[in-house]
Amino acid sequence: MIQSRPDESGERLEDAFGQLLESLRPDLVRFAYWLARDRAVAEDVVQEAMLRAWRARLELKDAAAARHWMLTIVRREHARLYERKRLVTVDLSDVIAREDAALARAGDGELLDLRGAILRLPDEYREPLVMQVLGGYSTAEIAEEMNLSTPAVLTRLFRARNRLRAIYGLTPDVDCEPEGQQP
Amino acid sequence: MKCSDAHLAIGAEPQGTSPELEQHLRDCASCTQFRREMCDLDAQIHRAMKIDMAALKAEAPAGPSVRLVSDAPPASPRRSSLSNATHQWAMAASVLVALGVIFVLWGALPRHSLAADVVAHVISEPMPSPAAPLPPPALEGVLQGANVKMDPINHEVLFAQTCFFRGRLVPHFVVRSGDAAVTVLVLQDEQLKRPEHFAGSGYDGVIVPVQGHGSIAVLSRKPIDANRQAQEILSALHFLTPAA
Repeated sequence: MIQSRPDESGERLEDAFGQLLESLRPDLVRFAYWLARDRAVAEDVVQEAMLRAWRARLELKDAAAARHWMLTIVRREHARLYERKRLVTVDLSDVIAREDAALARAGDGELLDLRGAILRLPDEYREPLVMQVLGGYSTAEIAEEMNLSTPAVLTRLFRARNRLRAIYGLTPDVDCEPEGQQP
Repeated sequence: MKCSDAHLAIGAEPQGTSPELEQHLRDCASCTQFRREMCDLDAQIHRAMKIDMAALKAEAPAGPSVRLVSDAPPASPRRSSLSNATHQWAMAASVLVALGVIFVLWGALPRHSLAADVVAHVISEPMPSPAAPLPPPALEGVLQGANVKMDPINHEVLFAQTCFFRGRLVPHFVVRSGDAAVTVLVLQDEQLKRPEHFAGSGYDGVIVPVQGHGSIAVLSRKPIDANRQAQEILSALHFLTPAA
């Protein structure tokens, strides 16, 4: 999509690419937030992802695929964060309490319990759920990104939602993970 | 298809479907009810995740707060000769005037000033600590990417990177000046009419306009003469593109 040429049309395309990235930023930060459970970390991850995207802009051939492409970069950048940084261990309940206060002000107050429950989901369940719900990833795409089998992703998605059922007074279903398909 | 298989499929993808699942649902009221519940839950999950990040950010206590400061020297204190009653009326009038000014200006104030964005960016940028000086080609490479060159300066370069800032790639570097680490952002797309001093989140600095080439931001966590630092950097910088 982007031609790296020092002439005027190249600059216009680069401008368009920059604007495209900026238009995606709210979605990307939201996606990163649910992965990282921290607004500041989410901003950092998106900043780094945008930089990577800019450097790799020639790889994007279709502007319609930009959102999915960027979400994947954000997801990988978030994963990289934990590889390259020794992060301070924090009490999850403190994080939830802090984020609860902010989330309560982010509208839809009746969803606060559900938001808290999503934040409390273990990473292995929350990540595929966020990828599916916010990212629009298919099960096969999640499996490929997370290096899992498709049945393992289905199981994780099922378990994630099953844990959230309790918020609405629904009885969690018996765990029906198929034998031999451990995530 | 067994009920356990149907529950797994529905729980994983409430909106998903397959001939086997539809066949099972036609004959199983329990699984049909389960699917209805999961579809309702899924709609709520979608709503819950679609948080307004702008609202979240605006309310976030951790964000950098930046106040603009004036070049004017602080007014010297004066002893008031007003009586207490007059003084109280004057205070009340001042408050009303101030509220009126705030009310009028509120809509005109940018939600995120350039200074606030500069500080937020610098805070978010990790810098190795303790920072060792970089070889000159590191900074040259970063500046070259923005069509900028810089004459040698009498400061060690501690950090140099191209950063994404307000939708643009900008050179971001840090030099050691005395015992202070001074951060510089070359903002060729940010036009200013006059220097803008700012202080906030532990940083003091200035954004200086560059004729035809946007501006540069110079800031530090330690007390520095930001104007002097900015002029020193500016005199060493050469913009290779024609002035806008």
